[in-house]
Amino acid sequence: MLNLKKVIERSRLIYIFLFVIITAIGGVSYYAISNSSSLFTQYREMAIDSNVAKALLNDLMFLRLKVKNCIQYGTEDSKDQFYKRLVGVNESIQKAEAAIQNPERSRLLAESKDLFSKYQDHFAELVELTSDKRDLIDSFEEKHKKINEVLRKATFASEADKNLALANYWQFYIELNKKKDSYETVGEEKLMEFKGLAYAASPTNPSIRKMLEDDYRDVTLRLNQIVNKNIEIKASVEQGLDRIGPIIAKNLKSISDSIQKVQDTLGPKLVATNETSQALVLIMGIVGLLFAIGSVYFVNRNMKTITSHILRLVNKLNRNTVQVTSISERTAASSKSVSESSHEQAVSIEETSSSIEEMDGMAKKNLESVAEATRLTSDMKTVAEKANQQMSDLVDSMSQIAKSNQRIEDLSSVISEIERKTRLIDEIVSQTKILSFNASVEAERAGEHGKGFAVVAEEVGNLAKTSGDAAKEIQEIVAKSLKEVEGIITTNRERVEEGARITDGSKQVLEEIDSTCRQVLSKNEEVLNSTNEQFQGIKQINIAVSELDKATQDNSHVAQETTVVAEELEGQALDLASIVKNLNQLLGKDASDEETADLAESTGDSVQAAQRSKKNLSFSASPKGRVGNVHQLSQASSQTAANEPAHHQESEPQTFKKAANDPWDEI
Amino acid sequence: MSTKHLLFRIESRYFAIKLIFVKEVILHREIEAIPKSSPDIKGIFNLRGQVIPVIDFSRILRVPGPEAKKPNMVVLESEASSKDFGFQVDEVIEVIRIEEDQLNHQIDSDKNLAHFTYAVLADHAQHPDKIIYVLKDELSIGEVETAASELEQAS
Repeated sequence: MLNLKKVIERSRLIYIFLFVIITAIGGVSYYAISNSSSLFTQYREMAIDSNVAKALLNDLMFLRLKVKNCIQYGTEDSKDQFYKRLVGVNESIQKAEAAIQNPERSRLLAESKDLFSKYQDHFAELVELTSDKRDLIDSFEEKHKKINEVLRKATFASEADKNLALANYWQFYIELNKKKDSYETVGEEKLMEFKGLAYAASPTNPSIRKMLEDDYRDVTLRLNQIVNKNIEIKASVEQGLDRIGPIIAKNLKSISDSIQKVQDTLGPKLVATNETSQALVLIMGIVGLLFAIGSVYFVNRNMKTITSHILRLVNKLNRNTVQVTSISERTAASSKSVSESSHEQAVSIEETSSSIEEMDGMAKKNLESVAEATRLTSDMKTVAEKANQQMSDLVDSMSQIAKSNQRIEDLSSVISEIERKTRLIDEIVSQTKILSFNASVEAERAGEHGKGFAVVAEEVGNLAKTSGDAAKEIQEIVAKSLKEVEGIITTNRERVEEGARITDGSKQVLEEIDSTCRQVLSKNEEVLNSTNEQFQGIKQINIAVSELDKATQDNSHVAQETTVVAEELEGQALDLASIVKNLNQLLGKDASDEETADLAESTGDSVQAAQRSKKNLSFSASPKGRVGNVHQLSQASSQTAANEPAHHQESEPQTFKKAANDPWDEI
Repeated sequence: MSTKHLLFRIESRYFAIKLIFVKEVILHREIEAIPKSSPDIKGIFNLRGQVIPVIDFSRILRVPGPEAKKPNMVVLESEASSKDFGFQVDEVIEVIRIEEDQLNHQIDSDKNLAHFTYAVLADHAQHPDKIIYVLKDELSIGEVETAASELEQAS
C-alpha cells in the first residue's frame, strides 16, 4: 500500500524551496519599486517648488510696477492697487513656505519674506512723503489764489496798470510752478528777480504793496518746501525700495535655479529605476507560472492512486453503516411502540369507565330538562298569540291616522282655493289702480273743472293700493300655510308608511316564533327517544372494554421480535470496527492511536447497549394474568382512595417500564 | 308751483312724466311689429279702433328694457305731431306732485335720437330713497322717427 505520509513529506520540501525563491525575487522587486516611488515623489515636490518660486517672482515684478505708478501719480487708487497686489504676494509666500522643504531654499525664502516686510515699510514711508508733498502743493496753490485775488481787488492808477501787474504776477507764478517737480530750490537772487517782475507795475496803496511783498516771499518758501520733499522722496526710494527689490528678485531666482538643477539630475535616475523594477516583476511572474505548472503536474500524479484506495474502503464502510442504521431504527421503533401502546391502553380504559358514569348521569338530567323545555315552550306559544292580537290592533289605529291625513289634504286644497281667489283680487286691484290713474289723467285734462274729480280719483287709487297690500299679505300667509300643511301631510304619510312597515316586520317575527315553538316541541320528543337509546349504548360499551384486554396480549409478541433484531445489530457493529482499522492503516497511523481507541470503545459501547436492551425487553414477553383485571376497570376508577393502594400494582401502567422495581420481574 | 306727474318704473329705474301729456294708462296689450320699421319703433296696437304706435323707450334712453312678462302701457298724447303713441313700462306706481324748483340738474338727451330733456330728482318727499328721472317736456314720435331716419342715413 502507498504511504501517504511519505508523499506529503516529499512535496512539502519542494514547496518550501520554491517559496524561498519567489520570496527572494519578490523582496528585490519591492525594494526597486519603492525606490522608484520615492524618487518620483521627490521629483513631484521639485516641480511644485519650482512653480511656487516662479509665481512669487512674477508677483514681485508686478509689485514693483505698482510702486512706480505710486511715485509717478501719487493717487489713492495706485496705493490701493499696491496693497491689493501685496495681499497676493503674502498668499504666495505662505504657499511657498508650505511647499518648499529644502533647508537652503527655505532659508532664502525666509530672507525674502523679511525683505518683503521691509519693502512694505518703505512703501508706507513713501506713501506718507507723497501725501506730504501733495499737501504742500495744495497750500502753494492756495497762496497763489489768494495773491491773485488781492491783485484783482486792489486799486491801481489805471486799468492798464492793473493788467500789467496781473500779467507780471502770472509770469512769476508760472516760473515757480515749473520747478514743482525739480530738485533745485529757488535762491534769494532768483526771488529778487521774480520780485522785480512783480513790482514792475504795482498798486498805489503802499500797505497792499507791503502785503504782496510778504506774500511773494511766502509762496517762494512754499515752493522750496515742495522741492525739499522731492529730494526726500528720491532718497527714500534709493535707500529702500530700489535697494531691497533686486535682492528679493535675486533670492527667488536662485531658489528657482537650484530646483531646476536638482530636477535635471533626478529625471534620468527615476527612468533607470523604473526600468529595473519592471524587469524584476517580469522575472517573478515567469518563475511563479513555472511553479504553478509543476505543482499541478505533481499533485495530479500522486493523488489519483490514493483517492482510488480510499474510495473503495469508504464504499464498503458506507454499506455497513446503512445496514446498522436501519436495524437500529427498527429496534427502537419496536420498543417504543410496545411501551406507548400499553400505556395508552391503560389510560383509555380508565377514561372510558369514568365517561360511562358521566353519560349515565347526563341521560337522567336530559330527561328532566326535556320536561321543563316542553312546559316553557307551551307558555311561550300563548305569549306569541297575545302579541299577534296587539299587532292587529296597532294596524287598525295606523289606518285611522292615514284617514285623518286625508282630511288634512282636503284642507290643503281649500287653502289653494283661497290662494286662487286672492290672486283674482290682486288682478282686480291692479285694474282699479289703472282706472284711478286714468281718472287722474281725465281730471288733469278737465283743468280747473276736474279738481274735485281728481280728489276722488286719488282716493280710489289709495283704496286700490290698500286692497292690493292686504291681498299681498293674504297671499303670503296662504303660501306659508300651504307649505306647512304640505310638510305635515308628507311627514304623516312617511310615518304611517314606516309604522306599517315595522308592524309587518313584527308580525312576521311573531309568526316565526310560533313556528319555532312547534319545532322545539317536536325536537323535545326526539331527545327523549334518543336518551333511551343511550342507555342501551352504555351496556354495549362495557362489553367492548373486555375485548381491549386481548390487544394487550398481542404486545408481548412484538417484544420477542425486538430481541432477535438486537442480536443482528451486534454482528454488524463488529464488522464496522474492522473496516475502521483498515482505513487507519491506509492513512499511515498506528492501531494504538487515540482516535482508533476511541472508535473501538464506542463500538464496544454500542454492543453492550444492544445486549442491555435485549435483557430489558425479555421480561415484557410474559405479563400474563393482567387480562382478567381489566374487566373490572370501570368499577376500580369509581372506588374510594382508601382502597387504591391494594389495586395500585395491577392498575398503574407506568410501572411497566421499570425493570428493577417491578413486582412482575420477581414473578 | 307743483305739477302732477305720473311715476312709473322700467326695470329698476323710476321715471316721471307730466300728467298733462298722458292720454291713458292701459293694462298689457299684445303688440304687432311693423315690417321695415326703425328699431326704435316696437310696433302698433289697436286702442278702441285707433292705431297707436309703440316706441322702444328704453332703447332710446339706452337703459335695460321692461322685465315684466305682461308690461303695462302708457299712452301719451303728442301735440307736436298730433299723434298719440305708447311705450311699455313694468309698473305704473302713482300720481305724484313735483315742485318745479326741485329740478335743477337739467340734462339734454342725445340730439341724434329724440329731442327731450330730463332732470334727476333724488329727494322726493314720498320717495326719498329713489332716484327719479323727470322728463321735462313731451315726447314726440315724429321727432323719434326723424332722428331714426337721420341716424340710418348717417351710418
